[in-house]
Amino acid sequence: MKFNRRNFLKIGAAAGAALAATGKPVSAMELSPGGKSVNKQGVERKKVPYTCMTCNIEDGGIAYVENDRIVKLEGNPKHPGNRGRLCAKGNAGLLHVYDPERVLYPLKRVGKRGEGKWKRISWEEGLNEVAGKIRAHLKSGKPRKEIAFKWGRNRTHGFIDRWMNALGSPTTMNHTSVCESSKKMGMQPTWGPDIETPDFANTKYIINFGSNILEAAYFHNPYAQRIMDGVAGNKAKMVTFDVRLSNTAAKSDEWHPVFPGTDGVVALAMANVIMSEGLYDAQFINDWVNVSADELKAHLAQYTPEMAENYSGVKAEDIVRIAREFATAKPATTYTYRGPCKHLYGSYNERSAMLLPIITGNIERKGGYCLPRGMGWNGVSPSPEHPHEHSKLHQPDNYPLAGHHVSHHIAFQLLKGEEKVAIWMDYYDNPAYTFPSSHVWEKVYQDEKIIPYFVTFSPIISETSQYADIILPDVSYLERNDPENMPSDLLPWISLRQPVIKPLGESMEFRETIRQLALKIDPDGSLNIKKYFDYGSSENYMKMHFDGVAGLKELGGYEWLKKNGVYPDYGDLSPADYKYYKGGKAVEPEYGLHMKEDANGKVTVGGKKRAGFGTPSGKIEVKTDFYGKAGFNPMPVFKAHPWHWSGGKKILKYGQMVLTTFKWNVHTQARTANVKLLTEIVHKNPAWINSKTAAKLGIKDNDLVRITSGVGHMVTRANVTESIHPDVVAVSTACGHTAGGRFAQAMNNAKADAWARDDDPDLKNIWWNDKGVHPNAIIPVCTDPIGGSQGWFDAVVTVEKAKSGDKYGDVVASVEKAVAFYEETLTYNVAGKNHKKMHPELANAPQAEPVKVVSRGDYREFDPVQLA
Amino acid sequence: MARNVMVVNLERCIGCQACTVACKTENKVGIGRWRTMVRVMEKGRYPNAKRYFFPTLCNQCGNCEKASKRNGGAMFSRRPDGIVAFDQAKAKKDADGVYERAAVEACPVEAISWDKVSGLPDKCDFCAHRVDAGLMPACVQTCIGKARVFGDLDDPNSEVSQLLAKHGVQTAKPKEKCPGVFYLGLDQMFADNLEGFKEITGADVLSGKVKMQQA
Amino acid sequence: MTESPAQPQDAIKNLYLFFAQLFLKEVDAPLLERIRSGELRAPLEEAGMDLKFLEGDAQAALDGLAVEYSALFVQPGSFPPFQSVAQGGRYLTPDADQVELFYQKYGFEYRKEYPKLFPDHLGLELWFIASLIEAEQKAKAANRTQDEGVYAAARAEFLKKHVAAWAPKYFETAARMTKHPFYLPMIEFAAAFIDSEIERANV
Repeated sequence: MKFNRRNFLKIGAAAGAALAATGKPVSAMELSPGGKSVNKQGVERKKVPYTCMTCNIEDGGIAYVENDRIVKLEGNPKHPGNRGRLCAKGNAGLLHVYDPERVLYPLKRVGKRGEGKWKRISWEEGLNEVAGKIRAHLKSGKPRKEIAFKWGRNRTHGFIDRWMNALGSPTTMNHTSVCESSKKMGMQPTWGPDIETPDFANTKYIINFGSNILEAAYFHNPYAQRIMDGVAGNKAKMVTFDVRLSNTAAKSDEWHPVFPGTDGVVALAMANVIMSEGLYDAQFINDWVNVSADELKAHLAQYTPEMAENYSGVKAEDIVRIAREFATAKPATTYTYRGPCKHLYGSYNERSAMLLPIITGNIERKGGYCLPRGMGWNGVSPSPEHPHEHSKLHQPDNYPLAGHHVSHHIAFQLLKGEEKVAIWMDYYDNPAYTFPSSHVWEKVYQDEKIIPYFVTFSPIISETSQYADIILPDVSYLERNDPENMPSDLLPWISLRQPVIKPLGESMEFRETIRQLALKIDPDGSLNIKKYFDYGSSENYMKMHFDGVAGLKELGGYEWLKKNGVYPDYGDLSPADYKYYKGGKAVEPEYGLHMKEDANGKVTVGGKKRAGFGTPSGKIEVKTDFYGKAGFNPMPVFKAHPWHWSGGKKILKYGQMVLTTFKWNVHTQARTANVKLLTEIVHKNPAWINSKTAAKLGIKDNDLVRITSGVGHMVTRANVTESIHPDVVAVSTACGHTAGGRFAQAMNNAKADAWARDDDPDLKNIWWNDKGVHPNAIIPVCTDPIGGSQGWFDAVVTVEKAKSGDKYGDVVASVEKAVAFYEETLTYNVAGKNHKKMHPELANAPQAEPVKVVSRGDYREFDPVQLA
Repeated sequence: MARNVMVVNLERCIGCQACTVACKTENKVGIGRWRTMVRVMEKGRYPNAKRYFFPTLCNQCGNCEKASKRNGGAMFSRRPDGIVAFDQAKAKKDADGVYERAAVEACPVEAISWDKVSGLPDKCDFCAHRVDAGLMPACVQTCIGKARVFGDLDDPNSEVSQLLAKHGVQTAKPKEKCPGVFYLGLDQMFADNLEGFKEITGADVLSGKVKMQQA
Repeated sequence: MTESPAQPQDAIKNLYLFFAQLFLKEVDAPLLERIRSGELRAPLEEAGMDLKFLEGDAQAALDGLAVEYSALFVQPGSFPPFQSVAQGGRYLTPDADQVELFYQKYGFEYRKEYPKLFPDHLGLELWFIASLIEAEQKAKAANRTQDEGVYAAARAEFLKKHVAAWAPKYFETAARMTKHPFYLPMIEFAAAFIDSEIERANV
């Protein structure tokens, strides 16, 4: 090429003519009248309240904004959940907004799926294309359920349901089965809500079964504050059972490493000790539990401390001691979150753990195990009805109690052709990274016969959205609207997520995108869709939610909430004790909700009808007909995993371990990987292996190791440590991205020329070159037949020194083998051949009533708080 | 006269790194260096393994000021309220062309680092700009466990004064004068561990020799 | 060929406008025709570009150009041509404000045309320089000598303070990242042009 002045002038002359001929600007930018918004240096710092969404906890924040630019995020002191403080992820939240690897324009696939070839299109073109496809499908008379929508994090509070119901499709698919669904299905039949709010700050004793609450969600920041208030301030004792020394275990007074999936039997044995030694609260059981103390004693007698020791490895004497301490330390509470429930029969485990606060009468006491407090807002009308069609993708056959569905089966159901899909919509979801046997999802997404048209609303190109046919980019959490509520404190609250700045570039809030799509699908209202989306703007939608809320309305409704971020205003936060004060008095939560007098109550205690619990009897149903009628044991029981145990004997062979995954305090499952300030702190995920086990296998710290499951193998490095059970290998899921951005993939300048951005000082200074190895592909499906949850912590793997030819980062996984595990896990469901085998105690029980699965809402009565 | 200090209650530190990140966003600290971080250390044999969290930051000892002055520099200066402030505009290059090498190396707790872009030294100044506006330092503001407490030691009613009056406290470097940061809960066993921490340098963290998070 | 004094100034302005277009938007059908069979073909070929690959089906040629445009300038993993990203690693650093202030100081406004684009886009910065050249030409034509000098000085200052601070390095990176028969030579061409402009501004 010859670029000299002569050529410049020649090309320049031709360019002028060409631009003129093609209608492009041949002259200056428009002249402005001048003077407007020139004052960008006289910086005014605005405070805008918002609700965080770097995870699912919904803490309150204040964004400091200068020139429509977020300069700092801090906690909102008016928010009772996080009381003015943010976690590491929340502090780094503004990087989600300004990430140069965020999608700012609609993109359309060119070339093969997943090839990475995109062209930018206008919103008009993008919306027309998607609306056209949906409209054509609706008009074609084909089943509406072929329109499918899968979400991973749905903080829209009903908006996705509105959309799908209006389209008449039941094929809404969530993610809850890879999260805590078996916890929910353990709790809901037992006492109504699907979650608890322990009063950690005022407790004297905490038994933590497998939750990593000081690092991860539900409710990391709020509960970490209260646990520290309890442990450091109130001198409470905390005992943690976990396979790994998590930071939570590390801050506990005692850490008891347990064999995976056996905390349930530890809890049952403790309950046995408490009952048989008479340490229970007889009055509470008599008044509020639907089985008698004698029935409980008889049922629990089989779970001796010695039996629990055999399975868990926790010494019987410790089990007895902790049981006695817990029973006598009142007030006391347990916590489980995603520990016991993420196993085959995790729902039984959760119910077993719940027994401890129940039989000791610690329910709804100050410092005890309390019901969640919630607050609501108004629905937006008109609201479309649930469709009558049924989709097996929404709710598969033979999982009658899986009220939160079985989302991790969907890829397999699609492979087997259980349902047909015409249009697939993807929202805030990344199954090709976050689901078990994630490679199966990859295969499904790649296959245009299975998913003929794939729309994503993702603002990032992730392991999943890379396979989309079209991207209509959503905004970050700091540019959108949502109503919010979480039971993260005993003082209930509602909170507003609002845009603290204008959406960047051409990105568009999902609620607005859907509104525009709906109006294009049904411009004249003849398809009965338009009327549900005629709310004008996302802001109006919020106004409809909030303006009529009693109490808030008097203050000014939505406008008041926009200024304050959270309702109610509990007063001023005292830096001394972190309580709210109003008129000089500390605001204290209400306790004993079940004891409130209620003329409609089902339970009479002390001669008065009481509010009771959200169960058919109004009592705590330790024995539940929901389980009994569906063919499961109505009592809390323990089922040893047949992969790990046979006849009470551990069957792991030489080199075999149970693979467990975990979260770091600075990362969520997938979304934070490209946030550089977080990825700088944690960016790799070597396999934690106990030092004795490692010595036996000849593995040294940092050695390359091969981890082989029944699905495939991965090659990573060993972190030889004292901080893990000898039968367990732990690999965090936060790292090992193959998409998602330069920081997520550790693409620094020196290493990957092709990714360089020369001037970016932070990219240049990436000082790590290890992005980790992601384990999910080799993790087989293993489904709790009750709650439908994935047993994340059940996979049996062989760990050995890497073989010749193994490279760090290798992940090899077979679709066929993954499908075989899926087929196997189906044999544990109520219709499967292993169900009876696993329930010999029910041999003489009456035949299970066939449970009819209606499309959705089957367990709505259990769902006072929407959790996802 | 105010004397601003920080008390770190190790019993309340959960190692969550909220402080680490809040500091970086408040002070625009880039990748590859820190004004503060929580260092993590494990000790003991299974099943009695323990993990400790140790927030580190400039202890406002003033060694950097002295070292810089010896070289004719004027970048660091102790304010009347005890904060060792710095002015990057006054940074002076040492003979080898590195800004304020003597001052950086005089830090007993490895809390000063060079900005990767400008080459200028940078450290914690208790968020002096916030303190002057009547705010807590960013790390204290966000501390989830309420481990970090900041205030005026000359005010007997301040939380820091009350804590120091009530508890036995230690400094990170007992042999140095570290008048700005005090730790609660540094029992003897942990003090032993600190010998390990002493050996940790920023370079060790960067090279992966020492784990910032245990992994 | 003799050049009247106005001609090189026009040509320079037009080049700025042309590059502004190339970086701001994908090549569209009319511009494609001008490149592959219109007045641009001869001078581009003379400068050494091989444009044969653009012949044939117009849509295929446009899609090919659009895909490369997206890969270079738009999609995640690309090199978004913004001063903020190049220098600060994120969108909309305060540099972007400084750039917009510069536009506003001289009375220019781009948001009618690009309402949602950040001010420090390479294409906008180049368009702004073209705008300053035009303003300078108009002042000259109206014998407003003082204004003429103001615009000329502004152009030199903007080039130095903003464009020169990042564009040459940016071109270097972008050129390293593509082998595309249109965008690679165009980026090299833009780089050479901007280099020469920076050099001239310094004289």
